[in-house]
Formats: sequence, C-alpha cells, structure tokens
Amino acid sequence: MKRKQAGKLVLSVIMGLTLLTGCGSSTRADGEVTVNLASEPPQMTSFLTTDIASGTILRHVVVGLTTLDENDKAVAGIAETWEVNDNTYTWKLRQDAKWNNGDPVTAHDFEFAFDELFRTSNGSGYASTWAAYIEGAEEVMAATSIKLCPIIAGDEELADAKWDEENGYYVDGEGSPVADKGKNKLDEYGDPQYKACSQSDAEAAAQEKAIAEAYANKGWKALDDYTFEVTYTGPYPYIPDLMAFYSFLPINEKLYEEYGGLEGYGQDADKIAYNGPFTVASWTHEDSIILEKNENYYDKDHIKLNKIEFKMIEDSAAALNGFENGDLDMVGLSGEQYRQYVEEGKTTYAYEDGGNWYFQFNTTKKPFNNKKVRKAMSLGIDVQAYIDTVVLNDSKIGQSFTTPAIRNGEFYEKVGELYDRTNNDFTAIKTMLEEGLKEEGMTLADFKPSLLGDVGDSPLKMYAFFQEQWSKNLGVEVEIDQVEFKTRLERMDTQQFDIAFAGWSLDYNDPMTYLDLWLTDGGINQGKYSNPEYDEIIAAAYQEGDPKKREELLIKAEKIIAEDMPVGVLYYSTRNYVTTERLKGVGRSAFRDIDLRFAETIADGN
Amino acid sequence: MIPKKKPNVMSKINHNETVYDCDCEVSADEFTHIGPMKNGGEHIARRSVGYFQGAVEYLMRDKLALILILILLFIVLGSVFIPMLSSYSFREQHLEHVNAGMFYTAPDGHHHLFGTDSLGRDLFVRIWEGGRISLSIAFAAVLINCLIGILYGGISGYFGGRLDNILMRVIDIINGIPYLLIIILLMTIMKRGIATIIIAYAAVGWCGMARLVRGQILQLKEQEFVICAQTMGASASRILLKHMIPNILSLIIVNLTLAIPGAIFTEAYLSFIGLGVPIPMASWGTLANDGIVNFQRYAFQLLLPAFFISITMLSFNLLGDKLRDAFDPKLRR
Amino acid sequence: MLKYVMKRLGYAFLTILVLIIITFFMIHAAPGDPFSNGKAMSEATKLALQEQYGLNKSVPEQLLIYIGNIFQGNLGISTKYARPVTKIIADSFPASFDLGIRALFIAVVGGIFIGTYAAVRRGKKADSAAMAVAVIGVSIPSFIVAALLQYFVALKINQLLGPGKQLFPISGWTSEMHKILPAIALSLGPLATISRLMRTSMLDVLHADYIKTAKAKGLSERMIIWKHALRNALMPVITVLGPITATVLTGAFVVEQVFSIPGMGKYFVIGITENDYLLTAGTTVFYGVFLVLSTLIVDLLYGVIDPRVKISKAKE
Repeated sequence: MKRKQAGKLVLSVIMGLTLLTGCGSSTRADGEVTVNLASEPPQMTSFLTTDIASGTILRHVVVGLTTLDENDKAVAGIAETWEVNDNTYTWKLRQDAKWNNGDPVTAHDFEFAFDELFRTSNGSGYASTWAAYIEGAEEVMAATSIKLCPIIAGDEELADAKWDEENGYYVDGEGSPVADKGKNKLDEYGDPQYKACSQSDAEAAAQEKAIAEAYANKGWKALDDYTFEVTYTGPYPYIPDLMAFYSFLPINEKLYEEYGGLEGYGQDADKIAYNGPFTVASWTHEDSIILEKNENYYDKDHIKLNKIEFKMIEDSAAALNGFENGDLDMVGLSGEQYRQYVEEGKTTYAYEDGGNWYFQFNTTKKPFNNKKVRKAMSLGIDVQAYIDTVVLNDSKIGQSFTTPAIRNGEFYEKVGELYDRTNNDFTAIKTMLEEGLKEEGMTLADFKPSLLGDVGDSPLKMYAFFQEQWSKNLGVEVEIDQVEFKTRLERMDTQQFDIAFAGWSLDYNDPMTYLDLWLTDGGINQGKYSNPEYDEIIAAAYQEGDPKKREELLIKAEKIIAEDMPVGVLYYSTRNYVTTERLKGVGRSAFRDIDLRFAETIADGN
Repeated sequence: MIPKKKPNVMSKINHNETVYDCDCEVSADEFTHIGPMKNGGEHIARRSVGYFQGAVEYLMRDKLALILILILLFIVLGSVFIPMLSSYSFREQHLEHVNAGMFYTAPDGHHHLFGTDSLGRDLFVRIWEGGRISLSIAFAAVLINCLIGILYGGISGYFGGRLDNILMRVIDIINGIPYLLIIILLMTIMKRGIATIIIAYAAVGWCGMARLVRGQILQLKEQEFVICAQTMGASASRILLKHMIPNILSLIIVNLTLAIPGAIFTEAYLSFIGLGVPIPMASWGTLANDGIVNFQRYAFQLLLPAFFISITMLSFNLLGDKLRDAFDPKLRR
Repeated sequence: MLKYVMKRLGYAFLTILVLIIITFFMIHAAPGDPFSNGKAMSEATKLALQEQYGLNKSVPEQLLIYIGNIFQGNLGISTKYARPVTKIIADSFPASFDLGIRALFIAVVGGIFIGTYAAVRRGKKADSAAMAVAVIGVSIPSFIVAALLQYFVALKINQLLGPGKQLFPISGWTSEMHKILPAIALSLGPLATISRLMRTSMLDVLHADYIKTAKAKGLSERMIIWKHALRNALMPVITVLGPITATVLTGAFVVEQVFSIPGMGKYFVIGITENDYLLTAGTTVFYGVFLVLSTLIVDLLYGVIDPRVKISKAKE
C-alpha cells in the first residue's frame, strides 16, 4: 500500500512539472538582446573606473569628446570638430547633446570631469597615469593630495617632519630632508604609517590657496559652453583615442551632486547621468543591468537596438548552458568550450583582447640580474605547445612586447619577430642558461627558482605545464607559488619573487601603452629593470612630434626589451565568443570589450 | 475496532487456594548426595571475550565486512605501490596525446589504462598517486576528529555550566572567522604540502565532532548509569571514557565517515586557492576538480576520481555501520 | 529559563565582539592592499583612498570606530564596490535566505525521513538505497552536483522538449522553477549528513528499553517511531543543524555562482580576495550573528526535546 502511494506522489509531481513546461524560455522581441557581461560593474563613476565591465556599460550610456567607431578609430563624439595648435586641442562641441535631465552637454561638464579626475583626494586609479599627459594635471594632483605626516614613535627627528611642497619630500625641523629626494616614503625607516597632518588655520588657508592656484593654472578649460580647450604635455599622436577613454567622459556637475557625489554617484540605475545611445533602465546588483534606447540621444536614428540586458553570469559553463538554452544572445567561450564548438562545426568569433602574457623577472635577485638566465628561462618554453594544450584557442605566440591589437597590427608588423620561438632549440638555450649561471657563480644544480602566480583551476594547469617544460627542456626544477591576486601584487611590489607570471592589457591605441611600463620608475616595473638608454628613448619618443621618427624610437625600445628581456613575452591572448544568428553587428576588440551600439537583430530564419 | 473493556485477569486468580494438589508425600531418604558436579557444572558455554576482542571477532565473521576491509586495503596498498611500479611518473606530460580516452594505446605503444588528462598525464598513475594524498588527509581527519573533537566535546558536555559555555563560544568564534582568511594567513607562513593541508584542516575540522559529542554527552550525563557511576566515586575521566564515549560510539563512527569526504574536498579547495598539494602532484579532490571543467566531453576524467572517492566512502560507511554493530553489544546479531 | 536566555544572549554578544576583534586583526594582517589592481598608482592617490575609507588610522583605532559604527547600523563602505556594506548585504541576503530555507527544508525533512526509514528497515533494500543516496550526497560536493544538474536536468531536458519550451531554467532567480535545482544542489550534502546521523541515532533509540515496552504494550510501529523514538533520536540532528543553518542561510558561494543567483555567498570570498576589509568584517559579523543565535537555539531545543538535559547546570 505504502509503496504505491509513494509512486503516485512521484508521478503527480512529475505531471505537475510537465504541465509547467508550457512556459517557454524567455523570448526576446526584435531589437532586444540579452548578453553576458560576466561580472558586476563595481565602479560606474567614470573618472574612478578602472575595470572592463564598468567601461562596457559606460560606453553604451555616456559619450565623450571622441568615441571609437566600428574599427576602433576615434571619431567625433560630443566634440564635432577639433583644432590642433601645437599641443593644444580646441574641442568644438555639438549643441544638440542632452543629459537625462534635459540639460545640454557643455564644455563645463568636461571641465568638471577633468577637475575631479585629477583631484587626488577622489582617489582615481588612472589619475597619475593620465596626469603626465595634460598640462597642469600633476600640479593639481600635488595640491589636492592630503598632507600626510609619518607616525614613527620615538623618532624625534621624524615626529615633526613636514612635507616640503616644492621638492616633494619630508623635511625635519631644520628643513633638511629626512629621506632621499623624490621619495614619498621614508624608505630608510621601514614602512612608516601616516596620518593627516594637523594643520593650523594658516596652513589650511595656504593649502586652499595652493589648490585654487593649481586649478587656476590647469591645462583644461571651458572657453564657452561649447568650446573646450586642453593643453597636453607633448605632441602625442593618440590624443583623440585617449579622449574616448572612460576616464575622460563628461559628468554633469548638477546631476553628480544630486545623485550623491563621491559617496553616491554611479551606485544604482537612477544615479548615473547619461548622454549616450542608451539609458540605464534597471540595475539589479550581481544579476543584471538593463539598458534602453535613449530617445534624447543626438544620434538615435543610428541606434537599432531598443533594449540590452547585460547578465552577470560569472561561471562560464553556466553562461554557455544559458546560451544553448536560448536565454542569451552572446557569451564568451573558454578554451575548452571553444574547442568543443570547433569540433562540432559551430560558428564562433574571435578577437584579440590586447592581453600580453609574460614572465616578469626580478632583476634585483641573483641570477635574474643576468640577462642570459632571463632569456633562457623565457625561451625554454615551447609556447606553441602551451597555446595548443593550455590556452586552447588561436592566441598568437608573442614576438615583441607590443601586441598586434595596437593599430591593427601595423606597428607589430614593422617590429617583426624579435624572439626565436619556432625552433625551440633547447640544447642551445640550456647552454646559454648554464653560461649565465656560471657568470653569477652558480650551477644548474643549485638553481632552484620559484614561479609566482595566481590561484584557480586554469593556473594549476598553466603552471604545471611551465614546470614540466623547464624540467624537461632545461633541467631546472621550478617550485610553484600560487597566491591570491592581491598577494601576488604585494609580493611583486616588494620584490619577493624570482619569476612571476603576469599579464598586461592596453589602455589606448598606441605602442606607448605597453612600452613605458619598463621605465626605471615605471609603476609596474616590479622586477626593477633599469636601462638608461631605454629611459632616454622613451623620453624622446614622448616629445617626438614626427610620427616616423617616433616610430623608429619605439621600435628601438622594443629591440632593447627583446635583448635585455626584463620580461619574457609568451603569447597574446585571443578571446572567443558565440552569438545567436539574430544578433548582428556586435563590436568586440581590445578597446571595446563589448560594443552593441552598432548592433541590430534580424528576424529568425532570415 | 470498537474499544472493549479489558477483562481483569488478576481478579480471576484466587489467592487463597492452595497450590499443592498432590496428596502424596516425599521423604528425604529417597535422595542420595552425589557431591558437586565433576565436569565443572555451570561452565560458561561461550568464551569470555572482552569488549574490543568481541567486536573484532564479530567483524571477522561478517563476509561483507571482510570484503570491505579488503577493498580498503587494496586501495591503500595500490596507492602506496602502484605509483612506484608504474612506467609513467605522475608528472610526465605526453603532449602528443592529451585527453586520451580510457584503455588508450598510442601509435608509439604508450598505453594508458585510464587515459590521460588535459596535459597528457597518465590518469592511472595520477589516481593512485592522488590516493596517497587523499587517504593521508582522510586518516589525518579521522585522527584529528578523534583526538581533539571527542575530547573537547566530551569535556565541554560533561562538566557543563560556565566551562561548557566558554568552550562552545570558542568554537563559535573559530567557526565564525572566514576559513579563507585563516588559509591566506597560513599561506604567508607555510609552504604547500601535506603537513600544511593537515594543519589547515585541523584548524577547524574538529569543531563539528566536538559539537556532536557535547550534545550527546549533555543528554547522557543525566541518565541513571552515569549518576550511578558518579555515586560510586568513579573519576570524571573514567566516566567519560569508559561509560559515556562507548555509548555514543555509533554516532562518532558515522560522523567520522562523514568527515572523510569533507577532508578530501577541503584539500581540493585548498589546492584551488594555492595551499593544497604542490604542483604537479595530484589528489582525488583536485582530479575531480579538473574533471568538472570538461565533463561533457571527457566524462571519465570526472567519473574516475569520483568513483574512487565514492567507493572509498562507501567502504568506509558500510564498514562504519559494521563497526558500530560490532562495538555495540546490543546490536550484534 | 528567561534568565538563562538573557545570560546566553550576553555571551552571544561577547562572542561576536571577540569574533570582530580577531577577524579585524586577521584581515589587516593578510597580505595585499585593497586599492592595488595591477595598475600603477601613485602613493598620494593610495593615501587619499585610505583617508577616504578611513584606513589611514591604526588598526585598533579603526576597530574602535568600526565597533562604534555597528551600533548605529553602519557597517562602513566596501572598497571594492564603493557601496555601503549594509546595502550590499540587504540587497543580496534575501536571495540567499530564500535558497537556504528551501535547501534546509529538503535536507531536514528528507534527511529525517530517509534516516528513520533506513533504520526501521535496517539491512533491507531500503537501507542500502538510503546509504547510496547518503554516500553520493557526501562524496560529490555541491559544485559538481550543481554543474551536473544544470547541464543534464535543465539544459538537456529543455533541449529534448524542443525549442521555446523549458522545464527548469538554466540560471537566475525569478520564478519558483528557478529555485528548485539550486535548492536540491545545496541540500544534498546536509541531507546526506542528517540522514546518516538520523539512522544511527534512531537505531540506538529503537533498542532502548522504553521502545521495547511500547512494543510490548502493542503500540503500532508508526506510533512507536514517530511518537516515541523520533523525539529522542533527533538530538544529534539538532546539533549539526545549528552550524548548517547558519552556513546555508547566509549564502552558498558555489551553488549561487553556478546558477547565477544574486546572493551574498560571493561577498564572503570577494571580501577576502579583494582585501575589502569592511566587506569581510560586515559579512563575518552577519554570519556570526546567525551562527551564535543558531547554536543558542540548538541548546534551547536540547531542553525541549529531552527535559533531563540541563545546560545551565555545571558538574560540581
């Protein structure tokens, strides 16, 4: 009796479930698409943004002075035309662009955004990168820095240390520096802690004056409502590209304040000012963002999509399941998924994301101060085999530091193949390694380096591959040290590593986005590579107005990197994705991770 | 059923009636004294066996239990010896035939019984190699649970009151601290390896057992036999170890068998975040982790480690059941 | 009783305080910097951010400020998301709680039922089947179960049904149907644990004298099990339910990730990997409150289930 009852129950549950199958998977009307953004955009205040997901949303809702077209070329955005006079650009703005509250987009909105970008107390992650490009920006950053005093108990010399504005270091009571010039940190004293300096009223007034002065001398100004003038620090050929970057997007000051300023702006759908093709209709954190066509957009006739839903599905298998179920119009593919799709003969798309993956060597540490050792360790890997077994797509072997994503590969072609990655003559490389080690008074037997890398599933596979290659090809046993990303950064910043597996992706469309990394005081030059010749070449390239000469300098810089090998380039990453047949005109590139501004849907079956 | 009034049976017996019906008499001289029985009289028919001896014997008589013990023995011995005897090492990568299926023979005569993984490593060797790690962790987990968990929980439950309160709040705090944080801090001072994994497991792994034992002891200590032992002046440790723990042994055994896969997958999680076994070593947990990436195409890469984990678990569980029967005299059949 | 509860609440408060203090020092001892993201950042900018988020003070000072703020219902601002931690938790907790309650329901009801059934049918087929379920439940972790369920039960069945039709949605958290598979995936582990403990404990109880008495009295099997045995056998299940409840209700990272549920499980992980100190502290406090309360309830339930148990009484 009992058993039957249980059977009945199961049956009725199944019947109940099958009745529900009537409700089909979500169908989307024409002009509506759902794509996977993969992660929550953490920072939608444009001058603070540093991540790709936020950048993708901003691309769809806010237009800057310029904007990137389908071919990644910088074209007119809010600025209709611009005049270049030496290093000064005069941007003439269009008069029909409007914010969501109906206000026109004016030069003051740009001025405000630039002001806030370089206001150090806002803490923009990109500010110090861009400050070098714009006249007066570094001065504004210095003036708006919070004055901090070191706290070192018991050290009387430091107790009354003061910040010397002019020279940029701390001075003691007598006015002599307590640390080397140019250093903000009191390195000799270990890692000091800081507190905000107590300021007297006079000092506070002085600072306020200094800030006002710095802003008065800034290199960007709204000449009138529709003319914005910016003076740059050099004849950079990529200024129009740069101005399309999200750091330089305009923000309407009135809306910024209304939406809560630094603490509140950009946190929810109704707290973002937009002037672009789409508006943020809703934002469910960690779930989805829905964009709808902006009826007030000046170029709305060219926008074909009415609604875009960005899903935040992090798990790539789950995303692909969703795609196969018909819930999503576009998802990215992992290497394994890409291989499967290729085997099944399905159409996939690919783009180079500008990512360059390399080994970074700690040149302060023996024997990695020796370039033969660095070279041997980076050339001792069969990179094609790595791409074929680990990356699992059509990523390219690295041949120079600048990836082909820059200027559609034009620069990359001119540089040519700087590394011999095809022969894989490991006996010769091993000999080179032994020579290098000998020069440092070491032998292969006592060379036991470690590789610092990230955690996760695919890194496990990646590092196992490298480890086995080094062991097989060079006879070097490398220990693998996997740590959390932030821990890795800290270990690299403090030179606690031998070899690190790291990557860099571009910011703007010029080789310089890669090449100025390895300046002696470069921000991510954690291997402390230093070559005065290289520094000079890059400095010269910054100020070189002639494109041809500039290019020659940059090629020279590439060759130095290939020769000294502070970093051993492995490969340039390619990403794969699939779309449904109804979605056409998707733009994806190193500069536009997802771009649906030019996309449209076509009716099924056509 | 219509309830009927129960007939009162007792009332039918007449207590005044005499029980002796026989009217004959028996005299003493009809009996002869033959002395005590020569063959020992009331000899004990069954051998007198102690607690543990009885349990072991009970276990040995059970065929299923014997088979289970043999399976476990096979897995343990296989893990120890197969990696030594195999012609492949667990780290060797055959890049020319990655993701080979089971029973794969390469054109050059390479043979991979369980196929290869995504880096072309022989899965047969890796499974057994992984067994070494996973089984060590499993045994360590059992040991930690027994040593710390049972004692901690026992003391907390038995002594009760303020001590109990404090000990249990300590567990709350330990459980409250994010595990990932504990591991990240451990990583700053320790290198990858089995010892580290065991310490990372030991940091929190015993708390569940302590809670369980404490809960049961709380219930047990109010029972008559404990009160009796106390009145007779037994020491606390004697009461705990001799009287109470054996009474909850069955639960302890079940909880131990449940702790084993927990430990195996804790290790996999640790590997995932950089504190597990050093690359390129394998464990069942990490093998299963690798397998899930590609289970649609190479199901065996997930099924093999899952099978070994499950079969070990099943053996442990069934054996656990047998053990509890063996250790609980009431349940022996 | 009331006095005991009040006393315990006092202890609970102290526990959470100690938890915050320990966690706070631990997160600050962890390597990494909340503002580093692989890009070059000037020292001045970093210091400005520290000032903005109040991280420029010494750790004890920050701790005091933090504890002070908790009493005003302020858990600070997350450095990763630039949003208040209270808001992050308020946004994400409902989904996690919803999922957790469902999973807990399946695990408790299913576990108790399967465990009891297996104990009664000891050695029979039903017992073996229950054992198999339990072994699978504990041997295969939820991330694998979730991935398999999503692929085979959701995607493959939907594909069988044909285009435009679906039984279980792949991911998301909108309809009731969305919630079934995640709840099953999450419940399997606890269900296995509960059923195993329940079976063992029930077997012990079934051999107790009072059950024999009840049998001798002629009570029906059903009556004996559900009225007499169950209550006494529940003890170990109640014990494990304490921590399980706290964990399951405050977010299951893996299941939420696979099914794209906007729950709070991920914040426990992100807070730590991103060195988002206040996010970690906030989620820890939140979880701590659940944990401490659930263990308190467990202790109180002991007394309800078995009135002989007196937790407040110490051995003299």
